[in-house]
Amino acid sequence: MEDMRGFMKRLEKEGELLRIKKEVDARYISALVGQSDKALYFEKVEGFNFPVVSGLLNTRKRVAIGMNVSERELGKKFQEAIDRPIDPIVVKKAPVHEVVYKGKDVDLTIFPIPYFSEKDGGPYISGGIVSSFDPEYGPNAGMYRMMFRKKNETSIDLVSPSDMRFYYQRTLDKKKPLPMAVAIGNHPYEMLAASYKAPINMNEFAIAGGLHGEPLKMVKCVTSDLLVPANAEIVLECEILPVGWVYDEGRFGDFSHVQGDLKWNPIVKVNAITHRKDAIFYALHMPWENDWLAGPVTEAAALRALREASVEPVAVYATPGSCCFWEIVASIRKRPGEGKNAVLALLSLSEVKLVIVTDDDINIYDPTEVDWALALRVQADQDVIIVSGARGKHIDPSLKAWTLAKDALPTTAKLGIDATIPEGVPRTRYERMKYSFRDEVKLEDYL
Amino acid sequence: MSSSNIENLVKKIIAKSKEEPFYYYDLLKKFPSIPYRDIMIAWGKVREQIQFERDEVGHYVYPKGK
Repeated sequence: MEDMRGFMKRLEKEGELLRIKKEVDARYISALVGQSDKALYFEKVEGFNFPVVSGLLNTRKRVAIGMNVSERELGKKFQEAIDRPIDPIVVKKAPVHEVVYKGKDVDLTIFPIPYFSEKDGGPYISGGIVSSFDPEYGPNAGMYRMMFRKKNETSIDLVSPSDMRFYYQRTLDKKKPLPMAVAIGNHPYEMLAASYKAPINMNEFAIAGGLHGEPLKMVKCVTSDLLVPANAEIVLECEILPVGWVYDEGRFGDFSHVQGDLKWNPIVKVNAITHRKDAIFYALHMPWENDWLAGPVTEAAALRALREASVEPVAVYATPGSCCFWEIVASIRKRPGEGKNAVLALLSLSEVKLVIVTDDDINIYDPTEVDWALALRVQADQDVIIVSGARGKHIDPSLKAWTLAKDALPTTAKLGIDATIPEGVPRTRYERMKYSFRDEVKLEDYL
Repeated sequence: MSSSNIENLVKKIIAKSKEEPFYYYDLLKKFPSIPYRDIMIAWGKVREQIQFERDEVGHYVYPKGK
């Protein structure tokens, strides 16, 4: 089974990963990755014994390489894995247990945890897959940011509703800590699965297995019964202390490309660190790696919504301008009325607030084509749907969430545009112009 | 860096924190020749000693009355 190192090798072979052999100061990692059109592998980081890789998933192309499909099939492949999950298997020995630190020997400062944005609250572990367990609901995995506080302590952002927040609330009610484990340096499949808000009784690591096409190998932690990916580079074995949402966390340059607000969150005590002998520290580079991890998940949800509405999708695209999160453009094979049905189905997705639906002749990955459909197929008084008062997300500044009472959830308006050919207009009215003799001459013959 | 040098850095960070509200970024800029890891270590020790307040833009603020 391919791990992060295998993925890195393939990226390098495709010319998508660059090795930096010159020693680098960890404070410059974020800026350097931001300037690069390739993932960067910093072999020597000043003052640390661990190399750093970052920007692995900074483009749609690299996600597609990770998923072994074309860039247009990300959502489809992810949906297939949700439909056919494969339960993980537990192994006794694991590369991630080659080195173990416990108790007083725990020291997060051995890792070159980067500082990303100018107004961040501190260095951030940005790419960890966080596992937890509830006796009634079972295992859970998600991706959560963790701010460095002390050598054995971090914060964790648990503000947004999630299964893990729910698990933590349950242990907090009993005044007990919630054991958790953070796996750093995983294959994109594990990160994609953890990014997906699976139903509470579904194991995200089984979705990772579905993506791999074989069971994910997992190993039990050395200080708890939690299971973690055996081929991770590093694991932090921790517990979220039963203190509630009272410690400062953030700010943090967020997936929405804005500098997020200061938050109040629980703190995490690190009880053990395990890692490979030659572990590579993975720094998920904000915001694009986070965004592109959301892309296949959003697109899979869009495909599911369209099929459940009995609409035949041709392609769906979570646009990068919307952080692969807020806007969906979809092309469909339309029967009468299905342009509107598709818009309504896609607007039902919890996070999506902008929807454009086109016919199957539009290349939805080309913004010019989409604009053409909007210009020539839309009558605003007939084809625009606005829904008020739907669930919103705090991080959207247009919702003015800061004006709400503490714990209140913001609501948002949603906009859908049916940019399919209107009923009653023959398709021939959209016959594209074609240059005469275009198949008979080639420009290069005249150069 | 030796432990005594780390302790010196801790003192410098605390002294700076008393001057004005700051971001962690300001520490990285204030001590450009100090290794990144040493600043992390010192920052951890500072946080053990000082319960910083945070202002509305996320600065760390030395607590009043300390």
